[in-house]
Amino acid sequence: MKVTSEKTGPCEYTLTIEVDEERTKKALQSTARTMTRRAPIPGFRPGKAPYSVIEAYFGKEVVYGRTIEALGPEVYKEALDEAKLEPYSQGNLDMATMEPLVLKAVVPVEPVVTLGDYHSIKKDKAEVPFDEAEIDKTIEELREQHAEWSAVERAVQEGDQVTIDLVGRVGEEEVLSQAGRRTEAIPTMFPEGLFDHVVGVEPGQSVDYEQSYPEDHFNSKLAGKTVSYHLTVQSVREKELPQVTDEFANTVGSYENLAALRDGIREKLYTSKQEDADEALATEILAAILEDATMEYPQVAVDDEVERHLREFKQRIQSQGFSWESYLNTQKKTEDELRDEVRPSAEQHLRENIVLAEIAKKEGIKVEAGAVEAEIVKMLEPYGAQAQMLRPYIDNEVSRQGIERRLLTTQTVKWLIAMATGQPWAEAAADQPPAEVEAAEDAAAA
Amino acid sequence: MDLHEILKRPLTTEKTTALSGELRQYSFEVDKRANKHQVKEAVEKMFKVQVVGVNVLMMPSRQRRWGRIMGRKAAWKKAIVTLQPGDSISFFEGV
Repeated sequence: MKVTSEKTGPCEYTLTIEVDEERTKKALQSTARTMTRRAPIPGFRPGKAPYSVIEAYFGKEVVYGRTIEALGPEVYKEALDEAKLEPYSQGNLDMATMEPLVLKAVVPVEPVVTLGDYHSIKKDKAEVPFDEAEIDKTIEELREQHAEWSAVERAVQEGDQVTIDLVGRVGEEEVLSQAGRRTEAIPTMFPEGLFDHVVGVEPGQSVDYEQSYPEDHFNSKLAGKTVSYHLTVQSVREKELPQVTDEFANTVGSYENLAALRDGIREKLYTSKQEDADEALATEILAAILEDATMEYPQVAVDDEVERHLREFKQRIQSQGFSWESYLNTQKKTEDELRDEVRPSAEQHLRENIVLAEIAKKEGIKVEAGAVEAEIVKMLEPYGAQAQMLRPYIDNEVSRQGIERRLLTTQTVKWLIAMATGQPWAEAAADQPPAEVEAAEDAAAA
Repeated sequence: MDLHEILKRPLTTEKTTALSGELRQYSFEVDKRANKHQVKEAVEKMFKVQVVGVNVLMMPSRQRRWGRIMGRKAAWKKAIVTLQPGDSISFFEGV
């Protein structure tokens, strides 16, 4: 077998494989035999026709094509070994000439990266600004969420919840009729003008009023008309915000007292800000590394990445309850246009991944043995009793690889942050509670 | 008679392929009216070979039934031609 390899593009080699005559012949004869066994030639018992008859009966191209289906992958693998290429994905195999049998294979190879001096990248960890007032704001939001409504016997005020009957007429024609509608009395309530008239009405009372609408009103039934409304307030309910007490802390979450609630909120806010800051920092560091790095990657890698982005996007659309086709329709785009649109970001993503993978390799960053299993358990946790049933969907070879890759990326990003900010890198640091990390930082500073 | 009227088709079966090896004998369906001399001349002209012997035989007509319809398959003449040593015929040229 003679193999010549030639570089034909970024991370792409074309192999010209000349297969030995002897071997070709053997392979051809064996395919020919199977062919006539399945479809016997008239005049011959199945599998008994001589090669020359088979070739004439089925056609030379067909026999060769079938042969390559069987022989190709075998030869391809040997050729890769001989040319010492590590394929990035399945290459494309084609027949160049029949006699002698020459195959051409276009093989994409693993991306090649040369990183700049990324060790010298130094960034300061931004101080995460934190204000106690933010905790108060969160508590206020929690109070709103846990507000209770209680019926009161007084006139309607802004912010109350009211139950009303409303009938609107233009002349004799009824344009609007609502009974027992429950709504909040706020200035934007529908239809316009209702708010002004509902405020101050006692439960059980009725009010009549007129309202004119402009010509360009969005509701064509009302546009340019004056409507007489008959409004009856059935009941009024007042919003009662819970008192900020230890008991409130207990109902909001399982916090023992108010102090614990404040601590809990502080920690949550702090971690989320910390994560945001880390992410921003990681983006900066990556951008700096990318600037210094030169790399080469095959076109297929970009295509794969684009497909992955598109698939994830599709899933997101569908999980929101839209069908993919109707989404494309509303956007007035074809799938191909969308593909072109995500291409730049997909390529950027690919470049980042290549760099991260290279750094992980160079620095010997690894995912711990039990980490994948731990992640699977964590992913299943929210499903409770169904976890056991769902497990096969998550716990399989493919998804395990995916999880491992993801963990490795996170780990590498953490490593990069530690490097750039000059913190000591401890692999276990990832899972330490915040207090201990701070202690470690203090120790480092001392 | 024209050459193509004499030689109607070559016969390719396991048996005739076997004959064409060592024995250099090639089989044809030929016109019922053709004799050995005509077959010899036709084969020599068409395939540019030397014929050293011709055997002819009549394949009998056979009764065939297609559902309720009774019919007969026509009788035909088969010729087996022996070539001189060194000559051969390839039936599939240009396929």
